[in-house]
Amino acid sequence: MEYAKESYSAQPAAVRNRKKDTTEPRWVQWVLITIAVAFIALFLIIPLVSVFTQAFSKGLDVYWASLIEPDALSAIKLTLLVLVVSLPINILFGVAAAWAISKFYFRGKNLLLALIDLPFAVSPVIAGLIFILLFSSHGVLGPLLDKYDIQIVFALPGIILATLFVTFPFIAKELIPVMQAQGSDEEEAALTLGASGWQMFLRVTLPNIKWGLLYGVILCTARTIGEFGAVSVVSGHIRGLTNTMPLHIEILYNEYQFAAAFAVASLMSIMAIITLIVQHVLDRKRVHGTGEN
Amino acid sequence: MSIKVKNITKYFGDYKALDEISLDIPAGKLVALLGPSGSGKTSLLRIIAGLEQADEGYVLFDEKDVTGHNARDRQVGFVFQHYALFRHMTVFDNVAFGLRIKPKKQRPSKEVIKARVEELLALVKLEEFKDRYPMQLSGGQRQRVALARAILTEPRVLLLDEPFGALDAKVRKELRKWLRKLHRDIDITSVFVTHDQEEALDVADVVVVMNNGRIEQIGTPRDVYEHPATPFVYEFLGNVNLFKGRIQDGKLVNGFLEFLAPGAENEREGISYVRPHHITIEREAVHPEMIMVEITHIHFIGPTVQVEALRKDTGDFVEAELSREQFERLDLKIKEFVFIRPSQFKVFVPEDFTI
Amino acid sequence: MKQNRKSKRAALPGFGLSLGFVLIYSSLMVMIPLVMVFINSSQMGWSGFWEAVSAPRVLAAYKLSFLTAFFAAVVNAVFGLLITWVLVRYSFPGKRIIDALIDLPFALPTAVAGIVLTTLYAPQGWIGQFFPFKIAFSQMGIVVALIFIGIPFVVRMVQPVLQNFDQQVEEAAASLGAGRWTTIAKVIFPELLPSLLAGFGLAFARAIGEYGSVIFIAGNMPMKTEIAPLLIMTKLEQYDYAGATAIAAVMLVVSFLILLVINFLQMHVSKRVQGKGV
Repeated sequence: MEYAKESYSAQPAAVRNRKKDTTEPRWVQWVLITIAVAFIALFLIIPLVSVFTQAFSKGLDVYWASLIEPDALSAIKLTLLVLVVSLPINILFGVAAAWAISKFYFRGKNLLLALIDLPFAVSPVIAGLIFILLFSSHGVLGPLLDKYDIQIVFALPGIILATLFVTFPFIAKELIPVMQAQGSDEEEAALTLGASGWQMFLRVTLPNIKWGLLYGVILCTARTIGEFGAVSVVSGHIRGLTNTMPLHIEILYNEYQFAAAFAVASLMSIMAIITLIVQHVLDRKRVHGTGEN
Repeated sequence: MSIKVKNITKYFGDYKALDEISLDIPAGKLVALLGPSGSGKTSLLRIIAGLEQADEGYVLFDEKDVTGHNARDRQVGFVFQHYALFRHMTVFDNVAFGLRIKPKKQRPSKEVIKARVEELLALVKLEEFKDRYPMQLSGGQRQRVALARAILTEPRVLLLDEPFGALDAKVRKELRKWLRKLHRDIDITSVFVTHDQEEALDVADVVVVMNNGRIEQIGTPRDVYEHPATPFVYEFLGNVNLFKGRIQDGKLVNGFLEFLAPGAENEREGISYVRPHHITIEREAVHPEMIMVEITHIHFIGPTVQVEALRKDTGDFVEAELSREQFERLDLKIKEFVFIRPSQFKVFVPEDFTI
Repeated sequence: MKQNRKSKRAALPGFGLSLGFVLIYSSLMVMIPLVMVFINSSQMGWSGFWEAVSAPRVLAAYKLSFLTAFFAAVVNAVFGLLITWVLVRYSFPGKRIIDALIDLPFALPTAVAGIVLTTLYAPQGWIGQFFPFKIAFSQMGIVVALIFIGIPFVVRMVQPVLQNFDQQVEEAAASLGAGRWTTIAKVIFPELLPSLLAGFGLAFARAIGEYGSVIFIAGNMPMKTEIAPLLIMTKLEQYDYAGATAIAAVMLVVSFLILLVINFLQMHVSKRVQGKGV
């Protein structure tokens, strides 16, 4: 919506009346805008700014020191490792699910969609719990794992599994509407022109979904590195070994090392801001495949 | 390459889209599948292409059974209603696609591909657009790219699914002329689907009229228009006057009009179909069967004149069509009384009278 | 030539491969682990299970999680609707930034949200200092955190519907004599209702299970400010797997029920408003 270019009274009465009928009075608009902006300032802007002011509250030196401290570094490393392992798996699942759901008819499609939505209904703590039930020494597969001396929970594999559970829907949910909107015509055309299944997928499908895929990957990444509850349950909180960045923040905070906690938090907030920016930029491109609309 | 379709049946769930369709398409012909939406024509085309599988029946290319082959193996050129151009590729890349994805052994060199693509782009008059993207082209241009892309690989048959359906009238007419010329130049068996009877009659060598999953009639455009085989074909192609009546002594009686209906059962209800241009108008009752009408409306439509008249015997309206010369010779005016008779007609007695 | 029956290969390839992979992955990743919860609970026997889930501390935790989540979701529904309206219908400086910011609770790690909200609403915090009563370390604090994480749900669900709303319908209502408020209440709002309910439901379900943003600000006192997920965590640390599982089972059932009810309501309202099934 654009601002009215001419002043209100300069417009002919018919136009004025028409506008009056489908918009609220100016003062109402401004009241509503103010309330909305105040709400957002209170709940979103102030907290975001606070992270940074708290992080730098003890000065730049303490900020920097908190980030390069060994436990912090290993937390960062672990977080990135989990990301690097889980992201390709999530991409694979997301693309496969979107392909099956958007290009074919089959019974039980709704069930599959509900299944993909499932993690959103499950508390992260429960997500961690289920893997403890399966893989801990007291768990179902415990004796079997002990026999081969395999450690899943309280170690990296458990963290990855818990993260996968929580993050697997993101890319799928992003790609499904994109692929549905694009239809199957181009793929069918490629087939009639003699393309094999893989040629069709690599040359026609992938380029068309690249923006949607990127969008989904960004969302998934933000969620992966930020996951707290599920990882908290399975990690065992072993300092320097099984602490991801969010867990490290928790430890610092509980030890009253506020500036350090916020320093690490500020890193994650920067990542969040980048996520928001990329999301915003990619929003248009997702379905139409190019910048043009 | 000839195409034979034998007893093709297709269901979508419980809905029977095609009912034992059999069709012979001789090599080199341009065939139109004509019918309203839901007639099954697009399903049939896609089954020929291999984009869908029939539940029963066979498809034969040059007498060879291709029913089990998928779209890739059938080497068909397919043109989609909404073009289906690869949106992220240039026009050049779109057209070149078919040759570029061939396995290494069969793939021509880059120079050969370039030459062929440019040759085809010149044929469709889009050479200057070769570096543009589909989004930058008009509908008519996109369809020409789609055509070029489909024929680059020298397919055995060209299939078009309502190719001009998404374009406006003027562009449609141009592309129609264009398709005819292309077909003459390249001489490839072509089948296209349309719901526009004007298009089918204008372009095709053979028209296949379909309705409700069945074939109503196959014939040349002239055949199906002048000698419709069923009421549906009569009504779908061009305008028609309907005269309903009862059969008596081998004649359908409607007011003072009697239509010969040899072999029709007595006392059955029937309908006689008469095209507007088969209604003869005279100022005097030169023929004993002529009836009197009062002219109510005169429309000038390009080179023809449509005359609407009210029958004095039944009070029904009749629509007649004359050429300009005929009209001027008779010098007709509204409210005048003249005489008409049908010069050509066909009587149908429907199974169940649900008209 | 024999008739080919039902060799119904779809035109596009990869169906078997993609669906197969998806089904196997979902079974291993999602179905089996979740089913574990219920199997484990059933192993406790009905009386054991009942004892575990009806202890006073547990009941207090359920009540707390449920009520705070509900209240926060209601606040989000109301303000979310307002924010969506303002974003879609009006122009003002900084609108695009605010629109982008809405997704912050999705993008920001819950732990970060947790510590910053606690610091802000603590008695000496930037915001907390203005209030005579405790916000952080009380039930109010929990509600604040749950409002934060629920903001995007309602806005993102209602936004597309409002954006696609046909303004001609509004003009028709106005031309028929409807006042602005009547038009909004009787013409526009019903069409927004399904997505509003969906957003509310999602925010609600999410808030019930929320952990990271809440445990810092809650104070975590049993019977007072101990949320259900924390109780599960505590039981796990005490190796009371059975107890933890029992509580989890109840929470799962409740979340699924909420989603089902919301889904049903949405379909029902949708059918009436749009005249078609969803």
